[in-house]
Amino acid sequence: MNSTHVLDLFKLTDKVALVSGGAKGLGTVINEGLLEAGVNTLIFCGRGRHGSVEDEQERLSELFTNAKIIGVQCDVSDESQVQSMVQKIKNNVNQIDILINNAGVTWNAPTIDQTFATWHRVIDTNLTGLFLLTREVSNQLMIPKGGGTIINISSILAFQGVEVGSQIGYTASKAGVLGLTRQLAIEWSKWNIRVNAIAPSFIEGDTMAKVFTNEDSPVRETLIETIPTKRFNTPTDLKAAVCFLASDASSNINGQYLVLDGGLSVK
Amino acid sequence: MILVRFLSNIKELFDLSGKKACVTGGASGIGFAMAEGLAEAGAAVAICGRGRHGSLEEASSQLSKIGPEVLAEKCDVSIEEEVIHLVQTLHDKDFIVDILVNNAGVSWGHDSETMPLDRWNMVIETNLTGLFIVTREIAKEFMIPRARGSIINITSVSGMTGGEIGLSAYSASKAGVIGITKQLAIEWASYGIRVNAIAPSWFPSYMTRHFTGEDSPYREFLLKDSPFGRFGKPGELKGPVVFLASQASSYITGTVIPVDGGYISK
Repeated sequence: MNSTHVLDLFKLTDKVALVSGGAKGLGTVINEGLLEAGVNTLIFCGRGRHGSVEDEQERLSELFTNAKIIGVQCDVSDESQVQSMVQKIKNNVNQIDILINNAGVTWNAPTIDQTFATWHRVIDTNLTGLFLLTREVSNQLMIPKGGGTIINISSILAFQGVEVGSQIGYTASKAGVLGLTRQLAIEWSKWNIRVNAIAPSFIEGDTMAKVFTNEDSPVRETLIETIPTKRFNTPTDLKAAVCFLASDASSNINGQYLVLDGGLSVK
Repeated sequence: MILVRFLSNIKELFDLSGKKACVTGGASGIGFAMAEGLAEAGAAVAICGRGRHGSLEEASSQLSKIGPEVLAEKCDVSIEEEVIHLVQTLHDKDFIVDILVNNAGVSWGHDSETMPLDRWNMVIETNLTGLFIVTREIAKEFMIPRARGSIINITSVSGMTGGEIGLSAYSASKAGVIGITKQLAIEWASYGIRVNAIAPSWFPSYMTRHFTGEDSPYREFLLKDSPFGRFGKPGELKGPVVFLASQASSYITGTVIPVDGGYISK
């Protein structure tokens, strides 16, 4: 019988985590959750537009004085930037136990109006960027160090289409993320690396979905009506799920996705 | 930062202090491990069982060392009168159930082409009908009137995939459990009740001894079929059950979480 106290299973003490897309939006919520759960070092990266990396670094440093916090400017869709970032982490920290693949973009438009450029903009970050960062982190740090846990942020759009608000690149990329999750879970189980995904529906405060979820959005109430629990995700729902999958509390969960949708996709 | 107002501390999210949980089949095996996990997280725990494969008294005395309050009641979930009696007893002892873990289960491995009907019925009656009766009674008595509750059904990866071993009744019952989980998640969402399932793969226990035991002819084959090359450890169900029981999963309903080391992704 496992003798660890159950609440200690959720602690991330002495762990080092890397969060992509961590400079803005929901990435900042994930940063906070991991720090609250006790990570010793939190590394986050973002494209860093408008000084967002520096701002988040400063905000977290004030809130969490006991942890080491490192913000890095990196566009995950650019292979050389990813390689350079992971090399620097290897040289300076030499450890990543937890990787949260959260970086994502979207482009809302009816599919017939989507261009090669808008399609690629989304696929290159959400799917190819996730592959690049995961490959580098595993190859450089997790495999040599004997394991790790990887959490990919997918979406319930991986399972279902929508009448309005089509974002074809996003939908395709997020379904692709689940395929990659299952493949890596099996392929890397021999390296003691767990790979799982989280598939949320709308989250309050998500800047990417503000046209749907803002208080003054014309579709907000209609959308809420379709959800069995009659509310959107709160940011806390997301950070709790991330901390569960990042921790030893989920040590035998591998290749899975956790659906955070108030029952929407069950209906 | 607009997001800050939604945040509550991560430690409090998993805490079950002040909550009361009922675990069916809680005297032994993975049911006992989950009861332990809930007690460690601070919940009062009522376990029930037929008292055949693990002594209720022994389990209860071990749990008493961990949690704030422990009840142990004899109950065969497949017998409606016994379930009604159990719920009446909980009511009389003011044990208002917030968390129900439907874990009681039996299995009968047999080639499907010659599987006797009475063995089939035995499995379905406990794993599926028993779960329905317990859930109906507990929800009606405790959860619906208070508009809260978290129900966690123990299904199995056998309810999601086929396998070489003849487990047709078990697989059918466990797939049925997933159907109930999804239906009740939607039907009872308006009552504030969440309904989810956990789907373990192979965990060593009395029930799985013919497959996972040291001298089982299936053991090596099953281990080879597991991506991590090992069976689950009962303690590995504590985290998932506490997660689903707690506020940490407050927006998760109707879902199935496999705890299988990657078994069904293969």
